[in-house]
Amino acid sequence: MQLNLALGGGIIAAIVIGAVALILIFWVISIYNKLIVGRNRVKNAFAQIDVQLNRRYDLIPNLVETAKGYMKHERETLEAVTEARNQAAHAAKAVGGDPTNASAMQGLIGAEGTLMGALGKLNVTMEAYPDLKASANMLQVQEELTTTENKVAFSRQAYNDSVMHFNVLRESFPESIIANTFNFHEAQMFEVKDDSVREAPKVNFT
Amino acid sequence: MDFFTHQDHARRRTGRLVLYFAMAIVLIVAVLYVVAMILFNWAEVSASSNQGSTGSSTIVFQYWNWAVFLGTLGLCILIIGGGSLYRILHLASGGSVVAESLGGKLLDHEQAGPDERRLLNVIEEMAIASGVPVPPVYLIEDDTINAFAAGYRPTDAVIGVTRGCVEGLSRDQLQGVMAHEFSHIFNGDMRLNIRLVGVIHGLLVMGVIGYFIFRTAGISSAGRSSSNNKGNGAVFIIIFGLAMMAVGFIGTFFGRLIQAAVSRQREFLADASAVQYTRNPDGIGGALRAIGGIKKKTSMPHTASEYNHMFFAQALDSVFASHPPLADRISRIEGVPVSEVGEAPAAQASRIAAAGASGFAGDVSSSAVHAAVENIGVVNPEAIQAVGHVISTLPDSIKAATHDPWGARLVILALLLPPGGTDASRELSALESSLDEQHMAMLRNVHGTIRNLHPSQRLPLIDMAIPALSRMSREQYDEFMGIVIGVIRSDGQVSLFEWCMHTTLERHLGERFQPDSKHPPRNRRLARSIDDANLVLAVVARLGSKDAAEAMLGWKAGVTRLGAPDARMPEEAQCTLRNLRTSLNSLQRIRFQDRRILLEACEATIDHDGRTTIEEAELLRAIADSLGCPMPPIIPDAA
Repeated sequence: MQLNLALGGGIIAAIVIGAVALILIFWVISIYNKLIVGRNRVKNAFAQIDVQLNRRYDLIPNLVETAKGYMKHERETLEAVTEARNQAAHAAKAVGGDPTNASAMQGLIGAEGTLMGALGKLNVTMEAYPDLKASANMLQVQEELTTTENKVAFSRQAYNDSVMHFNVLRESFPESIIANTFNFHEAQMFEVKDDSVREAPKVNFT
Repeated sequence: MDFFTHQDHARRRTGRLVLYFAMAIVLIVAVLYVVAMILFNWAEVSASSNQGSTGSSTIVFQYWNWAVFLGTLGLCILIIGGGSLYRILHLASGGSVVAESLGGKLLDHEQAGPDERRLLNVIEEMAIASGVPVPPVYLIEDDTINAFAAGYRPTDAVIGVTRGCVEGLSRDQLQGVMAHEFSHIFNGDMRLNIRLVGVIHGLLVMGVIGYFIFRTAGISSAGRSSSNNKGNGAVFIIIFGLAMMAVGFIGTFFGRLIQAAVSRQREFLADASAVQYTRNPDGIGGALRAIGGIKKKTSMPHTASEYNHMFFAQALDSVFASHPPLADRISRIEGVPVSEVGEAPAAQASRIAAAGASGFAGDVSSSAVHAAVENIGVVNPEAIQAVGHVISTLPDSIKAATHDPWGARLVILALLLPPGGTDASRELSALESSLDEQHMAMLRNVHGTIRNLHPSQRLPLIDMAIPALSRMSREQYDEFMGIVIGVIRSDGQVSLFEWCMHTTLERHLGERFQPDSKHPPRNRRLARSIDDANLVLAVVARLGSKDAAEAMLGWKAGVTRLGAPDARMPEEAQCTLRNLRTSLNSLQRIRFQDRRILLEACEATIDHDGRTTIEEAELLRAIADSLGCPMPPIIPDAA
């Protein structure tokens, strides 16, 4: 009799433990999935930025070419732009679509900052060449650049929002345990450092 | 069978599935209980024999033991129910989850090569022509030719396509494959598939856990003699684990057989629908032949086996063929005369002539409206052609703007500004307070182009903009909707077009940004929601009429169609757009057959005076849309 109860009790205990273990496993899996979804969102949002950045990198050589014809004595400024553009394009590739790669992201942010600075200087210099500013080619390139700048800014905002959501999720308890176990690294915000960078090159529509 | 019947059927079928599933669990519990009781009694017997019972006392075989029963029941429900529920919830969290787990990458207009762009255009045309927002497209880097549609509802559907499909098929063939996928979306196959996958997953989990127990208990008891009690205990666990394993795997086996059989039927249906939608058997036939000619092995991840039945063709070689043999499919497609597939097309063709943007007439013919209602949930090839034509007349700059989130917002805002030469200063000043200089400049630009477009050109822009808009972040979406509402309110009244626009945006974007919104069961009958239906008709009647008397006539026509002749027309004060929204929300519960009746009633109301304005037609479309019934665009006839 006692043995029966013990056995019965043993089986029940095993089942209860099993049940608890199962619940735990499902719970872990659901958190893991949430993290995956969050990370994918971040990756997708970054892909959006990537597209616009690349578009900008493709437009800049046009800008330089158009300016070269008029600004014959401003070689340094133009070269600085080309150099900065190449660095940035290279840095963007280095990120490889993985915004949790902290060092690559920092590299990209830095290179972008330099590029924006160089472009700003170029704009300032162009003030002294009204013919260039008014030329049809330059107007067109500037317009495309502005549109692209706007898209970059917008997609960056969306990206940073998704990064914030993901990082908050990652750091809260109990998600943090699982995030660390399965190597969900923190995603990097895409913050613009240079102050002068905030303004996109102005285009005059009048 | 039409769209409404399909939708109701799909829901009934899944209901039946749940029933079978419950029966299966009962069976499994019974089997496991029997095994457990046998073990239990064995334990008793060996225990009493160990205690050295004196001789031949009869051994009482216990048939019922509450503890064992509850334990077994609890275990089964937990494992199978939990496993299934988990899987279903995971899959229902959006088609994009499925697409990404198969290695798909979201395809963006700006980085699309010419082949990819062609695919995006085909999908865009078909979506607009059928009245659904353009679904996001995922590209899977695989050389085989395959495609799938995923997602729980038409509003959160996504389409996945392999690289082989993009590069290996002609435009007609691509259209055929996409038509096949769209038909899965309209026929409710996706919901059925998800339930099937979920159910089988639960059974699989049971088998796997049983296997796990079997192995670990087996290993841990290795080397113990079977004569002591502990060893006995381990044996019991092993046997029980074995039973779980057997039950689980056998259940999975039969489940997969059923899944495969169901899936094969749906595939034939989808092929037939594809022919109906494109009126071109060579398109999908050609695609099937192209698949047959490729001997390559797929490189898709092995998770694809779970989704096998969602694909266009066999994704992985599986014993449980979820797709009929290619040869059968091709012969069915090419052997069946086109006029036998679906509804008789000839009569419809004359009504929806591909008129394109013919003049700036403010009215649409009632036959065009009627045809649109008839074509809910069905893709009409004439509509595809007409839409393709309209899209080709759109300026490239506007088309490009709709394909990225930043520009798409501006397009929507520009659409909310008064068209033509009407004064837009009130709206513009409302916008100036929310948008910065850059935005305003671009907005004026876009508005300058859009204001001169014909209504039939303006409306597809909304459907085209939705996928880009859904790429915003939640915060950006909230801000954007705030701006939209600000513009709508700026002139102190809400026009019909503004209401329709807001409803559409909220419905399609809101879904993507608030995935936790509950979806009520949809099986109520119209009779229980007659008051709401009554209000809808009254609002439609009043908005389309010059005076109360005319409105009454219109309302009467609609109510007659509803089959509620004793209804009373609601007061004018009640017929607000806000109440319309509320009523439509509660009408979400009624079954699809009744939604069709309601929409036909609305049509009767609109049409009673023999004159239908574009605004009335768009209101009907918006109502249909909020009831989950995608209505194709209404193409104005010549004069």
